[in-house]
Amino acid sequence: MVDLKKLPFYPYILLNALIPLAFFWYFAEAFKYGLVIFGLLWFAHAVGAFSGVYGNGVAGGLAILSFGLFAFFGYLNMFFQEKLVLYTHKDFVSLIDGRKDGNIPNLALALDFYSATLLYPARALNAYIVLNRALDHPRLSFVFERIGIDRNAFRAALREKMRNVTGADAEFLPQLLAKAMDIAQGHGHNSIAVGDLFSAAVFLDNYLKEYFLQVGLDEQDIANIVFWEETAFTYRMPRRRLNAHDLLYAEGIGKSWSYGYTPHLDRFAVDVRDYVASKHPDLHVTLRQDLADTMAEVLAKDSANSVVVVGENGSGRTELIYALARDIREGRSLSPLNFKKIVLLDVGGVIAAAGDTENVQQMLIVILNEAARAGNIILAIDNFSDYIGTEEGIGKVDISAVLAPYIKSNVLQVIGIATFIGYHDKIAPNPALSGLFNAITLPDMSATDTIRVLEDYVPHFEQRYRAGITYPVLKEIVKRTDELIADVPFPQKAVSALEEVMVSAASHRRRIVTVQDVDDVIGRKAGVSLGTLQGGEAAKLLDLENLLHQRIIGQDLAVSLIAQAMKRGRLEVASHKKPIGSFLFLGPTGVGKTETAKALAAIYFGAEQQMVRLDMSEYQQPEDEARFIGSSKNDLDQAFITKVREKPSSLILLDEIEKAHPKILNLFLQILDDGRLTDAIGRTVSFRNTIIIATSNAGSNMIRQAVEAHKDFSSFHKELLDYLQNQNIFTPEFLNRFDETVVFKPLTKENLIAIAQLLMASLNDRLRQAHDITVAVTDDMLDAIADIGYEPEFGARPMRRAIQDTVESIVADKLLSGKAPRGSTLAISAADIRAKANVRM
Amino acid sequence: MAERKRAHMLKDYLVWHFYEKPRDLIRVTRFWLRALNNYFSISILLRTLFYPWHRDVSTYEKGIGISERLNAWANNLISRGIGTIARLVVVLIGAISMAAVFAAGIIVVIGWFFVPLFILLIIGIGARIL
Repeated sequence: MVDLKKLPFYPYILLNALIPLAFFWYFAEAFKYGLVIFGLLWFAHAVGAFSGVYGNGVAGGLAILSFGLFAFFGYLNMFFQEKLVLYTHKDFVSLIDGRKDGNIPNLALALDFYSATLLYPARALNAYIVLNRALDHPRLSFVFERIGIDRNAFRAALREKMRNVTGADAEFLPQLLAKAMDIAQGHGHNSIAVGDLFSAAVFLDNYLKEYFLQVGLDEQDIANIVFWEETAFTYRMPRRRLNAHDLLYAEGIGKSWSYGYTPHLDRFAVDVRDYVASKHPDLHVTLRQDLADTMAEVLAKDSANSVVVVGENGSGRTELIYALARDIREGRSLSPLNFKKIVLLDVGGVIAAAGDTENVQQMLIVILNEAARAGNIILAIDNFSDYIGTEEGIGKVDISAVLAPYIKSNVLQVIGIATFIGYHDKIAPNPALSGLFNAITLPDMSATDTIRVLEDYVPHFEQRYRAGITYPVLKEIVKRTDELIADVPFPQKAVSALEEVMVSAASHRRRIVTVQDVDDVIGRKAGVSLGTLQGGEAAKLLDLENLLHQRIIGQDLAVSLIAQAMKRGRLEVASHKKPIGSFLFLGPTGVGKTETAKALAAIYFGAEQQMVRLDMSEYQQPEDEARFIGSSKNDLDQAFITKVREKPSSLILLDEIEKAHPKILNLFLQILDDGRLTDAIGRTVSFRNTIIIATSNAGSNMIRQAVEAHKDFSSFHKELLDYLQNQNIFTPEFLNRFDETVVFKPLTKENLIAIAQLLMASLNDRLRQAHDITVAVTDDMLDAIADIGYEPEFGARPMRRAIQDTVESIVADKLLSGKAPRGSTLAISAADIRAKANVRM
Repeated sequence: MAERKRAHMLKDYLVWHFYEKPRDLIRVTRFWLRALNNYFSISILLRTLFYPWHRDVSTYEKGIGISERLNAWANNLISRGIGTIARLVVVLIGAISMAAVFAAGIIVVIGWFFVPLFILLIIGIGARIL
């Protein structure tokens, strides 16, 4: 039920319909200026600066009257503002609960004043009328800018819709308010604001959803943008000079007087707050508050109160400590911690200043003594694991022995910052430090949180590079960096990408950054082509089958299946959680399986070298898992998974997959399903931009027999798969994971001749370039080569060798004996070729 | 309906002027007092009034002579003395600021009740001069 009349401020809504309440503010401002003008005139007249029509009395009277009217309208404006703008419904929560219980409360009670004025009069409302009224609301300007559509165009579209849609839907208003209430609650409001109504309207109306889909935004994105506006609004509010709020949270005077001086420490340490504020002046967003609270709880204990923050470089560890440091300095944390300082100690600087190891230890002792005596210091040490352990080398010193006694006797607290590898290899096993540090692990930041971090950076970057950023741009940055950059975590990779995109836009003198800019920059970085398909690429994809056939002879069904899967992957119709395509190629040796993989790598990723190739016969033992995912930091560099980490956009070719140990095959189940694999030290590697091709000769005999018996291949396909499962060559789960199982047929004579033709064409290209001669290609010749170059056990592999041994040999002889002048076409007969082949044998 | 509207708004206005706004002004004054207390760290400084200045203490070992002992004792006394004086000065300044804010708060709250009269008076004077 929606009844505006029951709102406590309903009379004001009616008044607002007559005289918009904003006018009181305008009048007050007008009389304020009047006061200034007439006051100046009065003053000028009083000091005799000029005399004239506006005699002393008139100017004075007008000035005083202006002041009185300014005060009058200002007073009334204050009344309306405080009564209405700050109104929140005391029982918002009970309204929500009431809905859940199935009662029908009056949803209008949840509205704030501005939203309520939008809905008045409440007759025959629909989403378009509501939005049309809302369009001019000042708070929505930000939202439209960030959506990236033209407000006037949108208004025109709404008006068009309003003309076409007639007839009231009685259910509309209750549905709108119900949805708006949910959104408001999710954003932590106590009433429905204009932004909540806007989001709700988009959620409920299909036309509006489609309208915003034009810029790639769904209804959840719209709600996120509204939320962004709210966060930005809080921080954009004008700050008056003397602000009690600032004083309440300021450090003030005298708090540090009962704590000790730290001259040596100050040489090598900087307050975390100053350090982070210099890098990121607008840092407001506090995600991971739960982790900061956990850290505070540990630090507030009496003993075992040191912490190691574990996460990859760039995952936001220092920012987490900053958030905690800010709370502590403002007195908002747990009381044992309040007003302490977290300082970042530059151990490298100490080592550099000290010179040799013994000096380092002495200097450290002095610094740690000072910190302990001061009483209000918490030390933070970055790259903590670099300074633990007895590795020899420049800049390597083991400080654990020096540090441990201070921590054990609870006179000093330390926050160490380490990576996963560093923590597992150096800190966790260290006997001196065991039990002293509590590990706090930073999980990967989610895409939604990363967008919020980027929102925080937007004002700073926009000012610096003088270009505007919309929400679709942020969304695209997060999406593409997630897909394509595997070795750097969020939020770092997104922030770096955002800055690079801004630099690129600035260098092209763009005022607004577009999604295409993002795709260009990130695509270039990752070596992949992104974004809307442009002329050449669209043609390539449509023509993929033909392009593949240029290198692969026969195998029409195989090529067709592969091309379909690739088109799906590139146009992102398929799920993006898996690899772009995964194929199992079955068939006899030498029929084109590897050649197909190479062709695909060249066409899709730009080069045959964009391939990671594994011979699975080398992974037949269970211990070989270590070469797959690594077993410790040292092995990791050579492991397969690291190769994929470095080349996240590539084709992975697994030869003779049936030979791999079942343990390894199981790892592939994970990759094919989820597009990800975890290495030995817990980092995930993404396979989502790869094409995976596994080849196998299993069942080759069966295939050959089926061809000879002219079986129908679509039914044979199932027969073959059953055979493979029954013979325990592959498990059903494994076979099902592939997008396609492609059967390669043995080559026919025609295929062989066609291959021979291809190879001869390639030879002729080389001869033309090197010696400006060609070889005439005849059917007989091709026939002869096909005969010589084919062997059942090796398929067409020997054909290249055959041409080398026969045709190329003959050509070489002719060149050497001068019988191949430049510009000539050589004739080589089939008989010559066969004769040469016999000689070789 | 119009009558009821006006009476409703009139009631709202009276409640606002005579109760809500003065209550808010008192809250603001209290907030400022808290903020000043925090800024001048008055509670903390009073609690640590006689602590040595920046923990600058001289310690001595058991077996040393009388003169060194007296020396250390004098240093510590001076350190505490400096600390006490500095803290007292800041506490005094803070207390004066708070007293000023308190007085201003009272004036504002009492003055508030007369604001409508004041406005009418000003308008009247202005009109009369004209």
